[in-house]
Amino acid sequence: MSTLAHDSKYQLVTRRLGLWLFILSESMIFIALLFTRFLMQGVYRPEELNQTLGLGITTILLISSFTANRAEVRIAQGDRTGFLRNLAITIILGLVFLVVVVAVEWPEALHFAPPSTGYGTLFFAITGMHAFHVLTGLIILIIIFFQGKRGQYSPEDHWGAESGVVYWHFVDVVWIFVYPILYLFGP
Amino acid sequence: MSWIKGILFGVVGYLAGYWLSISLGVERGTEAPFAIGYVFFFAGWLLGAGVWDHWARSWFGLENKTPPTKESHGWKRYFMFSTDHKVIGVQYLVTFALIFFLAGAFAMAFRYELMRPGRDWLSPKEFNTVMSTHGILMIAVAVSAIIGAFGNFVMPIQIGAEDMAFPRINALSYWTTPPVVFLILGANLLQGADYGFDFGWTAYPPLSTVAGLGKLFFLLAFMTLGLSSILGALNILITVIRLRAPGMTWGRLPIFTWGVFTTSFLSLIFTQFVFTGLFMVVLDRVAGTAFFAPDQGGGALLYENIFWIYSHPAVYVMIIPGFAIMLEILPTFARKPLYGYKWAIGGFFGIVAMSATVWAHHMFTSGMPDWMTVPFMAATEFISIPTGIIFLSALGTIWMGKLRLKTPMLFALAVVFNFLIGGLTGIFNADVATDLQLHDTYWVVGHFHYTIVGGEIFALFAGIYYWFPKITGRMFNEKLGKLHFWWMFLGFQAVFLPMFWLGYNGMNRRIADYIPELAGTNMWVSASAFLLGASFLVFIYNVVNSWVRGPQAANNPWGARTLEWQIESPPIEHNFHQIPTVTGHPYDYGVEGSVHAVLAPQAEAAD
Amino acid sequence: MTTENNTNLLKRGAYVFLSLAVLTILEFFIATGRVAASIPLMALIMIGKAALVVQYYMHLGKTLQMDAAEAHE
Repeated sequence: MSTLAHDSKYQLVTRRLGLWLFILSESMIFIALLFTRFLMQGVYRPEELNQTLGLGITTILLISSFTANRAEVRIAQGDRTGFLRNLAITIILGLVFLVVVVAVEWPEALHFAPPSTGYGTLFFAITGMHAFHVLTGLIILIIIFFQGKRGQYSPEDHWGAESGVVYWHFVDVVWIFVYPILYLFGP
Repeated sequence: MSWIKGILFGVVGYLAGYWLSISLGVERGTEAPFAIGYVFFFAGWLLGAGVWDHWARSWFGLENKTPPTKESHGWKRYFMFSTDHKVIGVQYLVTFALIFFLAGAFAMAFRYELMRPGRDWLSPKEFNTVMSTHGILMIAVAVSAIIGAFGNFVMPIQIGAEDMAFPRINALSYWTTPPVVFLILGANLLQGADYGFDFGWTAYPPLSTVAGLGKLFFLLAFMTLGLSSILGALNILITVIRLRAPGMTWGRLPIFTWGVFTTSFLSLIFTQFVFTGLFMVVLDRVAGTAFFAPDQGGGALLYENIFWIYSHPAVYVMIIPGFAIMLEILPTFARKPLYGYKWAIGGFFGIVAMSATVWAHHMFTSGMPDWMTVPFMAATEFISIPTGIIFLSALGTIWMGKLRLKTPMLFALAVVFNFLIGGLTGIFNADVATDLQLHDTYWVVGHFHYTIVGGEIFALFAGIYYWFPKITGRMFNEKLGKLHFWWMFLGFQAVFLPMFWLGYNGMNRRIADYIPELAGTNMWVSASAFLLGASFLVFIYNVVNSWVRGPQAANNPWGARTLEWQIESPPIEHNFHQIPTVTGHPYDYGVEGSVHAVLAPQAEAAD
Repeated sequence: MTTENNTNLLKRGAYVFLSLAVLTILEFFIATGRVAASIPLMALIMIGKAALVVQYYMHLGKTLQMDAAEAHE
C-alpha cells in the first residue's frame, strides 16, 4: 500500500518537524534553569569569573557550528571527503570545548564559586546540563562520522547526518544564551 | 521475552553503573552511585526490551534483525516489543489499569488507618509513604492512561492513518513506564531509615532534600514518567499534523483527536519544567548544590514555582482527554450532532493557552507576595470560561437528545455530573480568602478527586466500555457493565462528598490522625471506600470474561460515525485496506446526506 | 540542487559565521565595559545571534515553509 506517509520527501518533513518539537521541548529545560539564575541571584557575577576563557570556549563552539554547517552542505553536494573532513573538525572542536569546560573551568570555579553557594550551584548546574548535551551531541556526531565513512548518506537521503547537525546547532544556540547570562551579565 | 530480558539487562546495567561510579571515586554509601546506577539500569532495561535494536544495530554496522512477526492476533504480542500502535495502546491500557488497581489498594490501606482516630497499624512515616504512593501512581495513571491507551489505539484510526508518525519512539515511550513502577514499589520495600518517601506527590524541599534512599527513588521515578510523557506527546502532535487521511481537514477532526492533540502541547512543553525541578532536587541531594538552601537565594518557593508551572497544566493534561472522551461519546448515544463543535475546540485551546498563567494559586499559603495573589486568583477564575464552554457543549448535545443509556453513555453522563461538583468546589480554592482556610484540608482532596477521578477516571472507563468491542472484537456483558457503573458511581459519591464536610471542619490532608469529633464521618468514608474498591472486581470479571469468551462484536455496535467504527473489530494490521477519503463532518447524526468518510470496497482492496 | 546553489550555501554559512563572531566580540566588549555596559543590549544581541543560527544553520524557516507548501498541494 503506497500512501503519502510513505513518500520519502513527505517523511523527511515529518521527521524535521518531529526534531523541532523535540528541540522546543528540550529548550524548556534551559529556559527553566536560566530563569532560576535570575530568580536566585539576579545578575550577580563573581569578580573572579574568567570571562576571557569564556570567550575562548564560545569561539570554539561557534567555529564548530560553522564546520558542522559546511559538513551538511558538503554531503548535500555529494562530496563525501569534504563532509567527513568538516565533521571531524566539528567533533574535535566539540571535544576541546568539553575538555576545557570540565578540566579547566570547573576546577577553577570550584575555588571561588563552589556548588554550595548560589552562583556556584547555577554555574555548575547550567554548564553541566549544557555539557551533557554537548556529550550526547558528540556521540551522535561520532556515530554519523563512522556511518558516513561506511558509505551511508547520499545527496538525496542524508537525514541522519542532517538531524545530528541540527542537534549540534541547538547545543550551540543554548550556549549563545548561556554564555552572556552566566559570564557577561553583571551589576 | 521483552520483560525478562529487560529486567536482566537492567540489573546488569545497574551493577555496571554502580561499579563505574565507585571506581570513578564517588563515595560509597552516598546516593550518587544509586542515581548513576539507575541511569544505567534504565538504558539496560530499554536495550533488553528491544527498544534500541533497530537504531543501535545500524550504528555498529550489524545487520538488522527481521522485525518481529506482526501478527494481528494472539496474546503473546502484548508482552513483546512491538511498534504497532494498537499493540502499544493495549499495553498502555492494561499496564495502567494494573497500576490503577495497585494505587487503589494503597488507598484502601490508608483508609483503613483513617477509620478511627489515633494510630491503628501504620506509623506516621508509613502512612505518609502509603498515601504518597497512592498519589504518585494515580498521577501516573491520570497523566498517561487515556493518552497512552486511546491516544495510541484510537487516535491514528480516527484520522485515517496506518500507524503513529514515529512507531519506535512510540514503543520507547511505553517501555519507559515500567521502571517508574519498579522504583516506586522499590522505595516502599526499602527498610529502616531509607524507607519510602513521605512528602506527598509534590516532593517539596526541604523535606525532599533530607536523607533517605526512597526519596531518591521517587524523584527518579517521576523524572522517568516525565520522559515517557514528553515522547508520547511529540509523537501524537506530529501524527495529527502529518498523517491525516485525505479530506481530514482540521474542521473534520473527531473531538477525541482534538483533545489528545491539544493536551500534547501541554505535555511537550511543560513536563520539562517538572523534570528540571526534580533534577534540581536530585542535584541538591547527590551533588551538593544549593538550589533549595534559603540563604543562597533559592529556597522552597523556587521549587514550588517550577513544580506548579508544570503541575497545574498537568491537571489539564489529565482532564482534557477526559472531556474529549465525554464529547466523543455523548453525540453517539444522544443521536445528535455535537453541539458547538468549534466552540469546544476553542475551549480546549483556551485552556491550553491559559493553563500556564494560573500556577501560583497552589501557593497562596506558601508565603508569596500579597500583590501576586489577586492576579492569580483572577486568572484561575477566568480559566473556568473555556472549561464552561466545553461543559455547555456537553449539555447542548444531551439537550433534547434521544439518549440510549448504554454503559459508556452512563459513564459519560457521570463525567458531566461529577465535574459540575468538582468545578463548583474549585471556585473556593481559587478564591484567596476562602483558600487560606481550605488549603491542605480534605476539602481540596474532595475537590481534586471530583475533577480528576469523577472527570477523567470515569471518562477512562467510559472509553474502555466504548472501545472495548473495537479493541477486542468481543462484546462485554451490558448488565454487569451497568452494575459496575451504579456501584462505582454511588460508591464514589459516598466516599468523596463527605470529604468536603470533613475539610470544612478542619481535617488536614496528609496527616494520619484527626480530631475525634470527625470519627463517625471518617468511618463512613472508609467503609464507602472499601465498597468503591470492591466495585472494580465486577469490572475485572466482566472485562476478562468478555475478552476470553464474550460474544463476537459487530464492527459498529454503537452506530457511531468516526473512522474507527467503519473497519473490522479488531482492526487489521495497518488498520485500513485502503486509505479512506474523508468527505464530511464526523458528528452529523441525523443530518441527511452527510457522509463522514468513504472507504474503498473491502473485497476489491483485498487483492 | 545545483552545485552553484551549494557554493552559495557555503558562502552564506561563512557570512553567518562572521556575523556571529562580530556579535560575540561586541558582546564581550559591552560586558567588560569597553562599550557602555548594558544588559538589554546584550540580551538583544544574544537573541539576534540565536535567530541567525536557527534560521540559517538549522533551517527552521525552510522546514515550516515545506510543511505549509505541502498542505496547499
